[in-house]
Amino acid sequence: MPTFKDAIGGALKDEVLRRNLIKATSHSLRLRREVIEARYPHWEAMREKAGAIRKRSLDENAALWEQARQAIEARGGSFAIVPDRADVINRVRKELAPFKGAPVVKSKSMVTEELGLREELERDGFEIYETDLGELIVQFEERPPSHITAPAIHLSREQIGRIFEKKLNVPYTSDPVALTAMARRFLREKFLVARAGITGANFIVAESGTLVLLENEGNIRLTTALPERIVAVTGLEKIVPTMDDLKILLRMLPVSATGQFQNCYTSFIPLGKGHILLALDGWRSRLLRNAKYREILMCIRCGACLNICPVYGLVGGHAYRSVYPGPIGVITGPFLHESKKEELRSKKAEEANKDTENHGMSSDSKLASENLKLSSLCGACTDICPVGVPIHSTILKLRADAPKPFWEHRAFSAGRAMSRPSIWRIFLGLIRMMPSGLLRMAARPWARQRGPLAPARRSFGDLWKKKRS
Amino acid sequence: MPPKAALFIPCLTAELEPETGLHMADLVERAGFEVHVPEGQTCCGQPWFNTGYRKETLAFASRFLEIFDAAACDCIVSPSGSCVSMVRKHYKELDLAPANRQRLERVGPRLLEFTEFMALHGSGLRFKPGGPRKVYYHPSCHLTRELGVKAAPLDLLNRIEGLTVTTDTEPLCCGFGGTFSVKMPELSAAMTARKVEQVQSEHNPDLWVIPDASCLLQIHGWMRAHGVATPVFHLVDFLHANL
Repeated sequence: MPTFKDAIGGALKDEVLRRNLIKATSHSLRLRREVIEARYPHWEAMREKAGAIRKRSLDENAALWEQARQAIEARGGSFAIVPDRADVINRVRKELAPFKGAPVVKSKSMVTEELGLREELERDGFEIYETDLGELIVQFEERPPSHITAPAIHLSREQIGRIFEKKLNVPYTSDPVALTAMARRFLREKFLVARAGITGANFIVAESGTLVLLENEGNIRLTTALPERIVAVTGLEKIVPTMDDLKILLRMLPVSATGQFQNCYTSFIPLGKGHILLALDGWRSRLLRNAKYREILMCIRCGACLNICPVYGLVGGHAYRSVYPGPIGVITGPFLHESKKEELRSKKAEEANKDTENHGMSSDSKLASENLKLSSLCGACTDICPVGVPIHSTILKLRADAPKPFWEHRAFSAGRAMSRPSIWRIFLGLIRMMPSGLLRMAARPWARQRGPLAPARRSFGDLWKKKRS
Repeated sequence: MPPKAALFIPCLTAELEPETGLHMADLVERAGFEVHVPEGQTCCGQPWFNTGYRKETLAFASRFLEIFDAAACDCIVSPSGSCVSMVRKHYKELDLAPANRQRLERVGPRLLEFTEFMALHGSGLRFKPGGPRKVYYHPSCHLTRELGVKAAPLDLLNRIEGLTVTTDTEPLCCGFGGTFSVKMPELSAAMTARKVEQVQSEHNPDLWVIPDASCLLQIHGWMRAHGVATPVFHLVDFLHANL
């Protein structure tokens, strides 16, 4: 894995990447704005309502899952809350074992990315195909998705054409229609012989045990309709109390994600015979118990905060070196990465409790702390979030709770003295006395792109006194 | 007796662009207020807060609250949405002593960003025609999103006859972010590059007007270093020049 510096520096040098990202994100933002202006004059009220539904889903989480379990089991389906990564993988492996000879079709799911489920099963000899076009592209590219809802957003159609040429042995084309038709032909063959399918979940409706999936390509309908065994993998946070609660989320998710008023297909699958639903626990229930940070779990994975984030728009998802990129990824990271380490150590319940007191952060979750720097605190993420996750103020809280570099801590502690006017004046007096060359050198990395930073000859205080005397 | 206004001059303005402070004092006076500059102002503490040093921020918050509570003015005016937002929105997240919490209750609601002040008290001011010029107003993030002030700066600019004022409804950050620009200088500058390129190509303004010294420092600095000659003004300076 590249270092933080290399990941960001490398991305900033990649002009093709930047063009791809800006083109795609501004397109979906423009559509989003148009739909909201035309169709949703009460967007702010909708956000509040949706936020309240998501809060309730977290507050009553255990009871809601119990309700879902009863509905699913009554129809002959199977449901389990699975404590961690290894357990989910083992369960899926066991469920799919009887179908090992045939391809397994899989629809898009961030939770399975979190688990590395496909790679894990491939190592066991399963033949697995991502059926979402973007996911298939990144599967071919052998890289993780770089966006929550648009996995191949980092690629141009020319780059995709090259990948298809190599992987599908087809003549090069950059025509999106032709490329899509190639992927379709390729996937149809897999769908027809697959005996098992893996899906994620956009929502699980508690009152009816219904799996809800949104898509545009029809691949989820095929994944859930053709094979005889369906395994759905999701996270504890994806539950929604009732069908009635779901309505507003179904309106807000597509417009936030892609700028569509309505996505092409929405599947409502009352889970029953032949279905297995696995809800991943792990870091999630620790976060559910964490009053300070639990709002992070309100997220419905629309990806709007990625699209609008000026940092994401320049560096893209891979620079975050984490499953969840962008602003929501920055605030999810400290909990997610802690959980991975937790699993490496043998898990101890007491430790988990202690972690909650420590805000769930470990002292050396380096990557997560580094990613906390990836925000200018512009607040665009908080503004765009359809369910009201206070993303940028959570970044602020996490920065306060994160371990501090030794020298930085010293400097900021000592810098407190500047709250005293006498020290402030002495400090600025010294800066004013510094030769301008020296000043420029001290501010070099900053000044290279912005020109010299020099204080005015006299400060406001002096000018004001002179004016009033 | 005219109402009293205290000026809160953010450190960047005080040390780098002190004229902006003088211009604001003049505008506030012309709005009919007696202007005071409480002594001993330093910094609101935002760089400490944004970098995660909340305990260390307390020293700045306490000083700010003591000074401005003691000033006992009808309102406090500041030419920076970012610093105003720090006090109004974030001081309450600090572990303030009870006395300072009470001071915050008195000081917070009286603290106004300059364009908020003008919307409330500045309707009497007259500006001379500004010529047929196209002005891009840069909506600074903290003013727009944290304080929710969107219309006031545009209304002010539109009072200057002859100007065509344009802006963005989903403003792109200038890339400054305080200590962000120090910790991530290249990324921060790349954000500025995108901001400037976008505005120059989509709006092609004759000049930029920016309501906050921090965005101004970043944007103007980048433009000078990269040979973009379009003039850039602090909103306060621009209005003052059109009196």
